[in-house]
Amino acid sequence: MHRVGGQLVRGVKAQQKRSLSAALPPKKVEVFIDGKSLLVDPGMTILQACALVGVDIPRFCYHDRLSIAGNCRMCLVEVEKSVKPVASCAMPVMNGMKVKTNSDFVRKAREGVMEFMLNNHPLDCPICDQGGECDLQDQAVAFGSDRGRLQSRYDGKRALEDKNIGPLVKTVMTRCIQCTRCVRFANEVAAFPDFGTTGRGQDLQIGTYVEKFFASELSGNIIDICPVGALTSKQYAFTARPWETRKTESVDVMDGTGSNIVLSHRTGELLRVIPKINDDINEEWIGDQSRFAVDGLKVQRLLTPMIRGPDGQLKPASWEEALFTVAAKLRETPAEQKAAVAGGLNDVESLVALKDLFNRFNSENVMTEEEFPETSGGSDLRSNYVFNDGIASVESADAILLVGTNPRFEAPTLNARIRKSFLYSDVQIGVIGAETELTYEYDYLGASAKAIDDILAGKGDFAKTLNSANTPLIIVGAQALKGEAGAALLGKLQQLADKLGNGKQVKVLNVLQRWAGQAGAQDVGYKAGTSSIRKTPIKFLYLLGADEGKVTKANLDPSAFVVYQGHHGDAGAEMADVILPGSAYTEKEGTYVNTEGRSQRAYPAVSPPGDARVDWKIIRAVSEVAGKALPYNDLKEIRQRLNEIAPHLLRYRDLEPSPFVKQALQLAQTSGSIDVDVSPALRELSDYYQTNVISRNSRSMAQAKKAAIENKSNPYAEEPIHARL
Amino acid sequence: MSSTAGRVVRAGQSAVRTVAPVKSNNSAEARMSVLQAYKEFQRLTPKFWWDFGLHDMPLGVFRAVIKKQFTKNGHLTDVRVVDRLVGETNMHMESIRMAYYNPDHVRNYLFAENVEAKPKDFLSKFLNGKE
Repeated sequence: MHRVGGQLVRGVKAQQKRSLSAALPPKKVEVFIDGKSLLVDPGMTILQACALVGVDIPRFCYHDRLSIAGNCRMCLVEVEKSVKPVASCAMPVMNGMKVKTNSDFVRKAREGVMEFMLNNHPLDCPICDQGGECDLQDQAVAFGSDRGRLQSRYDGKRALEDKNIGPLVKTVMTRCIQCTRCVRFANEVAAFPDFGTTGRGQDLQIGTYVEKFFASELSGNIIDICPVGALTSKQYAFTARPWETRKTESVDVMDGTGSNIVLSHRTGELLRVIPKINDDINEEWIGDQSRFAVDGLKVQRLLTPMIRGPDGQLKPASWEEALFTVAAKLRETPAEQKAAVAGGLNDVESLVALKDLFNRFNSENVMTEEEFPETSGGSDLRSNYVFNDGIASVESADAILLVGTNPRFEAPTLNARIRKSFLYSDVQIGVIGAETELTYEYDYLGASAKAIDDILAGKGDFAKTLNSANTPLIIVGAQALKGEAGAALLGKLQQLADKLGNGKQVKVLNVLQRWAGQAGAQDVGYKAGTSSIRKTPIKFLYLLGADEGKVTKANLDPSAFVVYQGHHGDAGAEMADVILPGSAYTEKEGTYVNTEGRSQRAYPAVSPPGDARVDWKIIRAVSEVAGKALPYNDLKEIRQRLNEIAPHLLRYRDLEPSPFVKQALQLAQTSGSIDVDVSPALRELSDYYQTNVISRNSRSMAQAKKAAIENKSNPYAEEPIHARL
Repeated sequence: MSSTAGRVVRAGQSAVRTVAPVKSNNSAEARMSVLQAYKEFQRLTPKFWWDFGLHDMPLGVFRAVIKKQFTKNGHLTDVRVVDRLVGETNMHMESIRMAYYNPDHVRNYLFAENVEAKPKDFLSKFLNGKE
């Protein structure tokens, strides 16, 4: 079985890098593309040089973010003085090279390649899910011949058995043109080396050899990179054609990175999610949860307001009744007995409206479900809780320390970037937490955060690596930063970051948030953590999408009145006395702040189901019925309010730097024991699929979780990279 | 006549545009056509009042209602707008004579019966699902 070995790639690339840095600065070489002169860097391929002058070479196997295979031959061009046509994706430019991209010779070569491809490709476009967005279809029209010479009566048509690679990706292997993009993706990005090719020529097959689950959190991306309909989405199978759908740009809420996505929808129904390229955040990948969990938005939704009757049953009610009940309770409860808890999937607009509502009633008791220490300045100093150096900084780092986080499952696209850095540079990675499979090698420094003391003292090999690094990076999971020990841990890490980052361009300490709404909530002044609820008996509790069960009836006054506003009937709705149906991230225009502190805007694809309403408007309506109307009536006005609180919230896509790192260190609590286990909660693939209220209700995520659990007992499953070494 | 309708007037030139008349050449002609339509409508009014079962009000009151439909547009000066309204009035009269309208249409049009006011403030828009 052929593979692109991770080890091998790393060794070669490191060597190349050294030899390159020793050489003189590269001189530009002159090439002529269709007669036009062009100066390019040496080492660039002809295809890339053509792209610079806007000449798009047809291709199947070449992909910007994968290694070069050169096996589809579609990118053939004519190079003067070369007898044969040249595969432009694999041929580096040479000085004085004269390339013709549209001569008769080239057209004939392309036509021949296309004829061979179509000989081995079924004519099933009408029942193929790729129809309309198929590279082969498009290029057959543009470059193919109008007739072929295959006589299927005599020659037969090549056909293969389909392979079962799990509940997410559908395979129709007869359609495969063997570009090996998926194999390269699996090996290089997803670190799933089981995916490879077997056989040669006519008998070449792509697959896992023995039937196996595509055990990767990024598996859905092979659907996007497949140029034909060999790999398609099981969820989207036979659903729609691309020309029928509308596309809305949005932001993913399944993890803290805020991956950019495009929502495809038709007739008010959400059909699928595909990634949108953003080099600062997700490149062009998204995790499987982001892609497939949207079917959870169609089940267990709250469609109408509900009020708990005297018999203890929740009964549907009108908005008037529900608003009046909530407002009456809100008015009559004293300020110190009120509290609001926000979950992790909220947009900043609704968070601001809720905080403003509570402030009008003299209460500052608004908090998030996710905990975060109040030491080091807490939420007041932004550098405490954001990914200060930005996600892209992972690529330029030469030493990374992961503390109490498993980025593979907490932020799959960030992890793909760390792997990229691992493959193509000499980065050294250390892990404090659980010894899990992370798709790259690392030095395991133990489960206890005590290891940080050793690093501070300069003990151990990894401490030396970190100290000598030019751009060291510490990534700490937000989950590790809770309670007393979390405060001490944050202080210690800030100390370490100060020591490592002294005189360097990086801020070193980066917090990886787990929730899409967390950084935004802390930006607008929410307290992190629900500990203050346990101190005073709370009689009025407003849950804004809080479904993780951090606060239960047992934590409240026995007569407490609980309002739940959210989109799913989950843990929060179960304990509620009044339910106000809100909208999910695909149904409202909202602002989300990702873990870097980058503000992004999501647009609504579909309207909220049933009687559900946009979240900030529900809170605005409650405020009016309660007699203290909030001063904004439309989106523009509430955005103006956002601007008053924190202007960066409206500077979409920009990364706002967070100052006061030094001051945070001065306020830090650096004493106290940090001898705690900081193993992250998500350790293996089966933990990844269902982490929030949407994915918990998703059928495809449940199936994927089941497949991942079953895969553990598969005798043919590959040993993880880390265990092999 | 050369029409400049639809053409962008160059900056610096006076912004007056010559437009082709729809029917009337000047405001006097337009006024005459309005008066004609008004007289015709008032002649039709007794039949209208009877045929459409509007005798819950006296005929005199109903005539005043019809008159108000004309006077409410008294501020209009654009000849083409006036012509258009006269044309619409003629269409209405035709529909009344031929009984293309029914009593509910007429009552909705003249007295806005059975028409709910559109919600204006935030809360009523919210409760109506418009917000």
